[in-house]
Amino acid sequence: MKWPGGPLEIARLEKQGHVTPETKDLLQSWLDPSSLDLLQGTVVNCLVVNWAAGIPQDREQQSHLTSLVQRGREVGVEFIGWVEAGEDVSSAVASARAAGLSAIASEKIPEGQFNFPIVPATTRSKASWSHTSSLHILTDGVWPQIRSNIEAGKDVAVAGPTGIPWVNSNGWYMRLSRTLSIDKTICLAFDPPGELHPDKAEPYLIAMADAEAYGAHWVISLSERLRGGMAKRDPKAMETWRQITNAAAFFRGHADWNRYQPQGILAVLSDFSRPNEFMSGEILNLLCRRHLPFRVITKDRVTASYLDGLKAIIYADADSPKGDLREELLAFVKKGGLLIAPSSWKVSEGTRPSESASEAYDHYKLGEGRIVVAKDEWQDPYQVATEVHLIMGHSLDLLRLWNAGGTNSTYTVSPDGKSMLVQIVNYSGRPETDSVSLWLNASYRSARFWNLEGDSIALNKVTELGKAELHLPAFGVYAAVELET
Amino acid sequence: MFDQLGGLGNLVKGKTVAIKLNLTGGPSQRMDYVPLGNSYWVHPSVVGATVHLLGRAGARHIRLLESPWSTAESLEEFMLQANWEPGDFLSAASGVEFENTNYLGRAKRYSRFWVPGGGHMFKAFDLNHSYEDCDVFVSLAKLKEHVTAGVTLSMKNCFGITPCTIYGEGAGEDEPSLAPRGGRRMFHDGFRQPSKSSFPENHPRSSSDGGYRVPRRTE
Repeated sequence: MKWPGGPLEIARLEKQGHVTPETKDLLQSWLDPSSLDLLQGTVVNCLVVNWAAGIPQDREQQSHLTSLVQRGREVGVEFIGWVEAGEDVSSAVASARAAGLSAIASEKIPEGQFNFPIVPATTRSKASWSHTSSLHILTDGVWPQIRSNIEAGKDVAVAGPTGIPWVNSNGWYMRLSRTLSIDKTICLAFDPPGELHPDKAEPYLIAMADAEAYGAHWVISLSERLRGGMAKRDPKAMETWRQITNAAAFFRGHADWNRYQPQGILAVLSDFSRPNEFMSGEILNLLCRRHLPFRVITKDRVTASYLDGLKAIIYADADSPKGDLREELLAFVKKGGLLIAPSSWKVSEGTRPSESASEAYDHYKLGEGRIVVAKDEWQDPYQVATEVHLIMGHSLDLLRLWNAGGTNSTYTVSPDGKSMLVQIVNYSGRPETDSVSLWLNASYRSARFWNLEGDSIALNKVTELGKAELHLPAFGVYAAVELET
Repeated sequence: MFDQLGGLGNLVKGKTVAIKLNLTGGPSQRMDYVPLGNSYWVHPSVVGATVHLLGRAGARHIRLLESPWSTAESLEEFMLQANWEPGDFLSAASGVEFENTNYLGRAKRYSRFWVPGGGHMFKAFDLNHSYEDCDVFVSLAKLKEHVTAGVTLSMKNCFGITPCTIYGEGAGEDEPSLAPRGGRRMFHDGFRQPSKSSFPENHPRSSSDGGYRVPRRTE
């Protein structure tokens, strides 16, 4: 959890030009050891504190933190020192070690052995997954919510072309990051928007659930207004805090769910780097919006065993693959797979066009499968995600949800294959979503519902039109359905 | 029931029968937990039984038609999203086909239907070919309330034969759009006219009151 305060945070905000006397008071008092009383009875056990920014206040900051760190260590709290970009990491490491910090977080990872944990903290574009740290912090997440036009003076949600609300989510990037990093622990560090009301816990719960549902974590960050309320022990602020820490406890209690693997008969294949970064990433983002489960495959990992269980692959990159990669993909098609490719894909190998089901794509038969190639260059990832779903057909759907317009879902399975998990995040921020039904194209013996308060209810299957559905109880921002085979 | 009405054979034997279904709204929305067929969609068992009886009576082709909400995807795909099985209808009789009539569909042009007597609102409507390429037309209704019309039955069901590429909120200005977008608000309040390739309203300055334009009649 971010624990901002002290001279460095004041200097940072002064640089941005908006520090009031009240803010200064709060940032000073927040580093008082007594502030740690707020953590009593919670699962929060690691605080990220401002540590070094390469400015004269560094020494004062570190001095201010001494008693907080000492008290924290007495009650089992660890500290990670945040080192601003450009600061000399070597000296920050030395001071952090001396002060008893557990690690530092830094964008710059210098060469050499430090015998002290350094956590990479980078933007997406600067992320390097080869670092030995098992933890990586990403610093440029979006605040997850239904996108609104409030900034433009219109208090309405923005809708996509078919009328479903547009959602800002980090989920797709968490899924991608976990693949690229080969299952490092991924944390997202981003701050709440200033206008958040301290009485409302839902936005914080969405931020947390959006990361957790995709196997990552959010570094909890509270607005100044909420911290101010908590400092005064305001009952409404404390209730918001209670709900946030309750949610954190819930996810800690289900940490094993993070080891579950994504289910999906569709894979998105790309190098996920420039110039393909935008198109491939947005396809992932918009597949999430369609409740269409997918797997992420990078070009360097395409082998027959990696493609096992897939029925369709989107080749998202602008180039036409060659060599072994092309051979693997064509072998996948010949065995009955569906390959959806951009217009740059050059079809050969004796394939011939079959009757096209759409105006935008040419369809080719190859062996038992199909290659479907866009007639024109892909411009709009929303359109691509929609067309992919149409080309695949809904008969291949792994799950369907009703009355879940403002939600995204994830579908994962336990390593032993005995448990399946559907997690639903409701981005509307409404306190309650009700009458959501779920259908899974899978057989299961039992189903159990969970919400963030930890309530757990056994669900009965309801047969509608010959298909077993589950009717979920009302829930707030998050629901999980665990199914046993 | 059909036998008591005189039987289907004389009407449909060797003919092409078009059935306009009533599948209002999106397939992912329900009234509470209630499946769409049990609330405001025609029930799939009614569809299946009707198809079966029409087939048994000798219908040569049976086309299931609807203009699903804001999409040019196939009717089968639309049904699947509601957890229906289009295959059940295919196996209920031979010669069963589906068509999404919310856009041009499989034809090269829209079919023009003139309204006898010049029409109250429009002289003619431009529709998907399926409503012309048939010998028998069936409006398979759902008995339900409607906020303006009072009740939805066979005639109100036919609101949905109009393609939103021409009569929808996102219809093209000059020519029909390629894909349908939005609903048919222009019928209810006249906020805009159809694509210019089709006839405009006879009296575009008439009342925009929904109750005037869609009378609350049940006869």
